[in-house]
Amino acid sequence: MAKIIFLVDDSATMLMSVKNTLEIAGFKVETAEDGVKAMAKLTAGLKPDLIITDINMPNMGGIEFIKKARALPGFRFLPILTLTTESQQGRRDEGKQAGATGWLVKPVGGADLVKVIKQVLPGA
Amino acid sequence: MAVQSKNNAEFKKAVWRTFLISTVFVLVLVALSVVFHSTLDFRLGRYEEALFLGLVWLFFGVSQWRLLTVVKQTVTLTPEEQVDIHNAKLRYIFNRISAYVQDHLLIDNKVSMDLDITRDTYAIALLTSVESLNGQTASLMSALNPPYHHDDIDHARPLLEDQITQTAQAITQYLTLSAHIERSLQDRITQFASALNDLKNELNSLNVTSADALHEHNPPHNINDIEEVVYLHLSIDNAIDEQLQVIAYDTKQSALLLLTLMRHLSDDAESIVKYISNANEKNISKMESDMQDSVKFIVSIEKFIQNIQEIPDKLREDIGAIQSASSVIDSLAHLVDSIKEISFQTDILAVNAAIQAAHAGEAGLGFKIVADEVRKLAVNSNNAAEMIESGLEKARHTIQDGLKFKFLDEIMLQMNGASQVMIYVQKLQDSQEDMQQYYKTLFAVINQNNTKLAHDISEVLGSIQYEDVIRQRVERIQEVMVMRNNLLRQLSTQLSQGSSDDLIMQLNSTLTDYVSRESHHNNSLQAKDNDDALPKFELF
Repeated sequence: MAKIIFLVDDSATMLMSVKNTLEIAGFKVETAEDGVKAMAKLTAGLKPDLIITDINMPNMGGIEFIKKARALPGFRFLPILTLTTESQQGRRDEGKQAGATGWLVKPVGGADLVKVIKQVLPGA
Repeated sequence: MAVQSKNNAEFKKAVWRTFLISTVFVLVLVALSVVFHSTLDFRLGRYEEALFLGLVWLFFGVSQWRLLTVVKQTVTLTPEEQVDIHNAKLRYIFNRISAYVQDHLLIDNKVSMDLDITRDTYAIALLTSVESLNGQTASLMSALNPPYHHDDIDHARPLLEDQITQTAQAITQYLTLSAHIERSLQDRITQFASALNDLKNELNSLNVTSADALHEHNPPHNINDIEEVVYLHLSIDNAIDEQLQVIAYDTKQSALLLLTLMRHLSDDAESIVKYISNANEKNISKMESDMQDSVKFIVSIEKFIQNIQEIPDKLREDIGAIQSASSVIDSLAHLVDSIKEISFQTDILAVNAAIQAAHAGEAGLGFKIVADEVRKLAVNSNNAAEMIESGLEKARHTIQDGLKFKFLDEIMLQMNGASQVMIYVQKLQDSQEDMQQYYKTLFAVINQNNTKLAHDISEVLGSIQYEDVIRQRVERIQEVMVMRNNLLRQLSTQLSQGSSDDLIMQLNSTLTDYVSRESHHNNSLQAKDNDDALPKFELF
């Protein structure tokens, strides 16, 4: 059974790029364009094995989305990675406090991305 | 002599006017006197004439000298006049800046629109080309996925070649687009640089510092403010310039990276097709003949198997025939027994009849003849029965022996067939092994190439993420441009109110915000060598 990865980013290019990379690596991918849409999918019953989210998005940004997702039942220990252009320490700390599992800075090559995912998703 | 004037400029103008009018008047007078002289022929005499001319020149010289000294005198301006001059200067500077801002606003708006359009085109074209690439690769992979049949591969080959051509086209399209974007960004950077230089030269020619020195006792606050505003404005433009350079660099580098990756991808895909084509040309014809042979062998083997299956049937038939023959023979044997019994009883009867005939004497003579005949009959019956018995025995042996010989023949025949079949099976096995080996190698090569293809595609997809990075950088530039332009629009009101502190503060914070935000997104391709940079991947 393929692991499900939930990808949240407002850039169509990013969604397409990462989705295809992950699908080639054998994952099943669900996508959302911002935090609000992502929360709607999660509350509607989507149960991903991993979430990858952007930080700067319209309507609801990544930090707020991570906080809200963590509050859902069954999402306390789910690995959540951020994938963003932001790289400074302050933002990383914010992400860490919100409950992110790791911080990835765009752009990320396919091999590197899959390597990091395998670190946080044992058995994937 | 100090002259107090409310309007220095007008005063100076009046003096100059007097000076010029008097000069012209005197010159006209001299000309007239020359004309007069020649017509009157020196009627007044030489001395009077010389005296008259001398007086006129003296008067003229003194009046002009007086006028010049007045012009040269230092004019002390009233405070109101100073403010007027200062305001005139401010107005001039402001006019220059607002002209520059107007030009810039037009250019900025156009550039913003251009960037928007270019960015959208860029994103859409990228998406399309990568999606088609991905689709092509997916179909390529599915076409290469097992089970393989040489018919399928033959069928898939032109399709794959077509896909590779399409991929190459997508690559070319993307590269053309990248080059276009890079060029337009470079153009924009040049435009920026030249506009900035123009403004710098303009401001230098205003000689703002010397204007300050002129008004040492009462340095106008606004001049310093304008310097500050212009300086901040230039700093913002410089910061934007830097980022535009980074964008140009990143666009170029990511295009080059993508080009390299795409070439790998294309090479790998092509090598698969080449391998399949070669493999097909070399091996398929041989394999076809092998397969035809195999079919022949299989037909022969099938025949043999049918024959083998026929043997038990024959055996069953033969056994049945033997059994029925035996039972017939057995039943005949019973018959022989009863014949024997009848002949025995007949014999006893005949003996008894003979004894009875002897007791009867002459009267029994005829009866004795009958008894003898009956006895002969009994003996004959017995002989017949024995003959039948031995005949049956012979028949039984004959049937069994006959069957035995027939079996041997059959078996000999089958043995010949079996050895032939063994050869066929061996041949079949050999060609099967060949085919297996061929497909095994083919799978291995294709699998290896598929892994490479998947890796290449992943890397291509990763490098396309630069589009997002560049898009965000352009968006930040657009934001800061809008803020800067809004602040410059406020310049006129701020100047008339005499306070620019707020404007300077806002410009300052706009610049600081922008520079710090850019430093937060330190993910240019240029930043790769930076040892101090935070890691790209961090697990908490």
